[in-house]
Amino acid sequence: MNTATQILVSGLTLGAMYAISTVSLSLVWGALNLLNMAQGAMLTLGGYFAYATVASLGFPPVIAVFITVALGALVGLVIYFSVIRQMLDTEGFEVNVIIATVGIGTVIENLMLKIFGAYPIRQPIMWEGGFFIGRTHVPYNSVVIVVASVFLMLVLAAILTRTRMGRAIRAVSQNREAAQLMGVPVQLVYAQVLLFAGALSAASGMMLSTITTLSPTMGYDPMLKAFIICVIAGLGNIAGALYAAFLLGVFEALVQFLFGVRFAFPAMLLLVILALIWRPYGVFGRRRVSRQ
Amino acid sequence: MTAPLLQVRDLNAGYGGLTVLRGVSFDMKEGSVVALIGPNGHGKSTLLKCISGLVAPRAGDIVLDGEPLSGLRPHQVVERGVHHIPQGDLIFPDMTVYDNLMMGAYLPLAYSKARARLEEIFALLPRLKERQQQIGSTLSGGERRMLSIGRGLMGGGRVLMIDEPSLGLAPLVIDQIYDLILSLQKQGLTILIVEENASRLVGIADRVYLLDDGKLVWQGTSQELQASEGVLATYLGT
Repeated sequence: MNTATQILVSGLTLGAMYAISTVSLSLVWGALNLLNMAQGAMLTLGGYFAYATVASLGFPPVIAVFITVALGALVGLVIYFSVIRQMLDTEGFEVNVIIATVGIGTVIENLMLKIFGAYPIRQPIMWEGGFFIGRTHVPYNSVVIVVASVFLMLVLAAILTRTRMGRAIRAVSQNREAAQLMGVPVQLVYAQVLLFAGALSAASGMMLSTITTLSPTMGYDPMLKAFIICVIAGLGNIAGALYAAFLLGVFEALVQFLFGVRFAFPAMLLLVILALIWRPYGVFGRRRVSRQ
Repeated sequence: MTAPLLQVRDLNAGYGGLTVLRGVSFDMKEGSVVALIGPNGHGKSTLLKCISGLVAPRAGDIVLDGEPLSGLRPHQVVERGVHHIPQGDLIFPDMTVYDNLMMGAYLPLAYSKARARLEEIFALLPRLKERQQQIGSTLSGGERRMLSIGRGLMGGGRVLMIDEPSLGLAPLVIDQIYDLILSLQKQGLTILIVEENASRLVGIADRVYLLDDGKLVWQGTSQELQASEGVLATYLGT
């Protein structure tokens, strides 16, 4: 019973962080057909932003959280306007932009290395302490992560389904040409999507750094896991990404407990292979119901 | 003599090495219904896409009410009141019928009037009202077509371009759609229809243009079109 609770607690915490980062990846893919390889670096940046605003600039943690998310959004916009927008509508966009985002990621990673050094740093923004469920220790930090993730997802869902802007983002993802014919300025939508993706990535990176440590490459592993979750959920399927993130988080914690930490990643890759064989459109993806 | 609402002058367009439109010129008066007919693959849809900004013309001008449309992005063309209902079912497949219709009223002005507009469209197309909460991709072909048309009407534009309203639909549904087009005309909309089935245009189109191999080769009223069997036989094989 205690083990089960333990696995569930750490699984849900992992899942919550993955969920945000996966949704960010999925949004960008859906709207722009852009596989954002800079996602890992955007997560890393979130962690360091939080660290720097507290440790170097001396802001109280609560305010630092908001500053970090705002800076993340800004990074998303800068990446869009400086690189992606220049490449839109060019031949081979989908492949070239992957390489471009790999480049952006490398630049960010090395900037962090240059500024903060390679030595892992402890994230000062975190809620110390915890409580017990039975004999299982539940850190307050985990509770904050899960609650904050769920809150962010609910806000995002409300934006996407209930606002004019959100509807336009979904419209561009589903049928770009038709969206243009409705009067949607697609480039504005792309900028909005990158803004959201940047903010979500920063939030996810900040959470991530509270349970590991800050290092220039910390975003790499979670980015790969976000890709895995996207494949399992079906790329661009945001609701599916959410379920898959939590399930995979618990799955990872379970494998770690049963077989050891080093087997968690290979086990997830095995899931991807199985998903691609049996449900290439994603476990939560609907097979297109199409009547002709 | 009032100036025409929409003027197309010497329009040339193509894709890559392929030339699709070669010097197309025509006018549309405000409140008129103009039809484009002609064989498949001879540039009718490309002409609409040029007007709506999806395809950039290589040469020529498109002028709406004295202001050039050519060179504008698609959303800017929509902002000027020219709405294009594309061929096939370019609906948003994972959105509900309701959300699809609301997308039609994306522009701020239309958005503020969307509620009232929605009721009007439900009155014209009651099937959409029944299916409001259904996901787009689960509709039948006819329902998708109606959704596409209803969505195009949500914007409340001045000029409506409809690409093949009757393609692949049952005769009964086609009748409904043409009844709808007639009632839109009575409301004063300027309408450009692309149609394969020339007999449908009788009594609806004020002017018919025949587009063949990228050029306008014949024009007349729908009655004249029906009378000149040679035209139909040569170009449409009927």
